[in-house]
Amino acid sequence: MASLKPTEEQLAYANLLDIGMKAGLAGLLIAFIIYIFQILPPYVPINELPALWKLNLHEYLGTTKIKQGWFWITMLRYGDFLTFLPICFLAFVTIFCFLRIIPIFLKKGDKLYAFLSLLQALILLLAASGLLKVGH
Amino acid sequence: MFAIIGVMAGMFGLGAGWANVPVLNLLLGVPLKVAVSTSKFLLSITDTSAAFIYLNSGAISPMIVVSSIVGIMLGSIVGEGILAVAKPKVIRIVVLALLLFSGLRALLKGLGIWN
Repeated sequence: MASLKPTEEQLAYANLLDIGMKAGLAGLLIAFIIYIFQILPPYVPINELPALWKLNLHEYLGTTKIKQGWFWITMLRYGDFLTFLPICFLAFVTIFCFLRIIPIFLKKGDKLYAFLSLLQALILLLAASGLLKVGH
Repeated sequence: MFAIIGVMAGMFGLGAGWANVPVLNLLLGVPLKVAVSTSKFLLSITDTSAAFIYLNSGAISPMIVVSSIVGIMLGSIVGEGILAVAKPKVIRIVVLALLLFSGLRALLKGLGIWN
């Protein structure tokens, strides 16, 4: 039977994921408190949400004048957009994890796994780039 | 098989975990606890790309999304602890119950009865 002892890259991935998850969760809670108590004003008023979440994406963006892509990064002075930051961070954690294990694979001579990890990170970065669209 | 799961997950917004586990366990013969852990790991990657796409769409409501993420993350921490000590038979019953619920939910959603 193969050894169940985790490998160096598995531990490195898991440890970084654990740290990133906890940091992201803490950031998310802080941002949500700022949003919910309106320490920073929301861009979309909270009392208008029930009317807005019935709209499809195109109608929602048209009504709220929100632009697609990384536009939200310029709107962090608003409480609702501030919550995008820890969500984005959490999404980046997986990319950081893949990048973290590439040197370990290379050190071991596992070039194929290193290439696949790099490829996975690049695909996720492509999703992050905003070149891929969703909705109408 | 996993591509079909992805299409269905995208269509119904259920996440792919409900289908990953039985495919890994029942069709590929992966031990149940390994199947559950593998499914969760897969989701952490596939959901990352989905998260970026939705972030870039600009239409995220923190009121719904943040409370969901926090709840699921905290629940996952509890779930991991239970998975480590639970008997595979119990996990199998829970997975089957969840599958039944998910299937019923998807069917009723598709028929417009439970939106």
